Amino acid sequence: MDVNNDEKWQRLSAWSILHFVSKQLRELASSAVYALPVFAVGINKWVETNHVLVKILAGLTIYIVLGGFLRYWFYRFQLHASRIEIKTGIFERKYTDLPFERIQNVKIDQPFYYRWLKLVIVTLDTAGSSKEEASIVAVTRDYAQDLKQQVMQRKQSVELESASGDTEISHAESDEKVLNRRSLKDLVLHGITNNRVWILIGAAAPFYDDVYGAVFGWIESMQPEIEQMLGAGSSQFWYVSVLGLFFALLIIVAMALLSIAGSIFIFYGYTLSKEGDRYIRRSGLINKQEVGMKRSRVQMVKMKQDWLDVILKRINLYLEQNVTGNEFERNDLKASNKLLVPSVKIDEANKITQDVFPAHQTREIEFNSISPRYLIHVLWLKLLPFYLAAFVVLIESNAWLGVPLSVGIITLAVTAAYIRWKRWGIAFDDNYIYVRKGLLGVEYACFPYDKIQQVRFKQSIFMRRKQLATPYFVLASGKARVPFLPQSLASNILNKGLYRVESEKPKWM
Amino acid sequence: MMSNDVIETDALPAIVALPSEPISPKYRTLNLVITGVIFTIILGVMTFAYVQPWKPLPEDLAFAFPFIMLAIGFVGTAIFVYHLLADVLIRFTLREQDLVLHKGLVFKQVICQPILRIQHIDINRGPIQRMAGLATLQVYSAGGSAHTLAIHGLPVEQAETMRQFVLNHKDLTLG
Repeated sequence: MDVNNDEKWQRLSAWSILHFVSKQLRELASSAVYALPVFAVGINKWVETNHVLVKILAGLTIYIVLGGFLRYWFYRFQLHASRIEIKTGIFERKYTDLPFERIQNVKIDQPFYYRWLKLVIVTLDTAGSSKEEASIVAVTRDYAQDLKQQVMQRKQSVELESASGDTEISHAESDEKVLNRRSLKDLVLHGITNNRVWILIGAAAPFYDDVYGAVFGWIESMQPEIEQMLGAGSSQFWYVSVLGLFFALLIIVAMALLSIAGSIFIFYGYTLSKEGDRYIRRSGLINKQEVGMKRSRVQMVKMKQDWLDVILKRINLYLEQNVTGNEFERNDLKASNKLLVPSVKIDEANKITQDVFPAHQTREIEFNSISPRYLIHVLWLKLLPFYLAAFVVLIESNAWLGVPLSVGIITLAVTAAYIRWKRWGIAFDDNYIYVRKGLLGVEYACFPYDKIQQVRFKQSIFMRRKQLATPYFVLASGKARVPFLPQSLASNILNKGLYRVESEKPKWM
Repeated sequence: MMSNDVIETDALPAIVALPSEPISPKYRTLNLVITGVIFTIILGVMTFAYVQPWKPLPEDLAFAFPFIMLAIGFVGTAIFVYHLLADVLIRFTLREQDLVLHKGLVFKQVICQPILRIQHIDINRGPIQRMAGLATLQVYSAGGSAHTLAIHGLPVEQAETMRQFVLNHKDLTLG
């Protein structure tokens, strides 16, 4: 296939059947989860009578393969210089006409079954509230790159026509340079400090019931042996707690190992590179993933550290761009509006941030702390449930256990409130606003005045009496707020941001 | 010629202390009437169910009746008093470069939307608002639907004028 001269309806490569079959399989698996209980109940009878199971499996296989083939057969596309048309669907025909200038992101994925064939899937994502996407399946990497190039150039020329000519044309293929790589050691660290267990656990979701059943069955079957070990009936406190501790430790280690595996699974061979004015993240052990983000679209940079990260001096760096449509994806790996650089060292994080937001001082600047009134507010209002819990513990249990327990609960709550108060802070210089917050971990956010969409000034009547206020900065990637600032400071920063946006009229995309 | 004078940030007009204009007083009246009518109907229907002779209520329900009435009456009064006090505090300011909304009884809020960041602006009128000749001006930015700036209770003509002012603004297409 050649990108440039096919102005006719054409099919994908026959290898795409593989992709459609796998898609078919995935859809079936996700709907089969609901049928699982029914299946499990009836399975014993079915297997005995007439090999119904074999027939069902054979039927499903035919359904999947045939479905995959039909999807391939009915998938037609036509490439033009500035847009792509696609017709899909077996029963319900769907027609998509996608002009290149509406495409926000070109993603290149390589699922494991295309690895040895050296083929990839190109996905063209649109921005906007009605999300449309087009995939060209089973093409060579060169073809994918050519197509991407074509889309990007078209986009840029359109933007150039509409803008007054201040966009630079990037010569994409020549100037790509790698900004950051993650070694296996980094990924292991990332796995330990960040819970990536769900990557594998999520994939195993259909088998949950079986696993639970097996685990509980095993525990029950172990009971006689444990009793024998401990002496029948004498489940002494000591033994039980040691055993419990041992199992807890075992589970933690297993979780950590799983998390490391998950981290490697998703970030293997991680590179962050820059091609013209775009950042590109590539990673993946089995499925290679490529995500791009234009520099001018980055609204905010966040440096996040969990408590372990703080000890190990590592940072998860997030570049956040505008959210498309209505979807605020919570999962930071799937979200197309966030680009994560996992577990980088502090100087690396500073360097990458420097590239996005030149002359930022995220980690050097002095932060203005928030008012001690915040502490009082949290201690009185937010922690009320804790006091109640402590009180209940105190009267429900006897004094020997109750007093230290309730004192413990309150100490914990107060300490947490104190740390949180200490962490909150805001700072600003000529170009950027910085926000720091956190409890056990710490998070630094940095964003330019230029990206502000809207500002808010919030104040309760109690805060008003103490001349305090909470400023909100609304960006296209989300909002930032710092509570209980001195009113003059809050108003000052808001005004400065507003003045900057309204007088210099900077672009935000 | 480009000018680049030093700006004293303290000297910038603070959005908190701007002169502002009120929305239509009809908005409060409308809210008070609606709240009154709805709660009167609810309480009326309940009282009817309590006193009607044909089908007596179950004993538990009959016992709880005064407490339920009291609770609903309390909620209704609270909403009524809130509108009574809070609706007069809703004010707005239209400046050359931005649109500012002031509101809030216990939690005071000042929201400022620069006009050049507006993506979309429309006027919303429900049936009751239409009867009263009022409209809601809704202003959308790229900050997401959670941060839509909505000014309720504007006289229709005023809402139209403001919308037109924003649409004619020369910076609107800058993004």
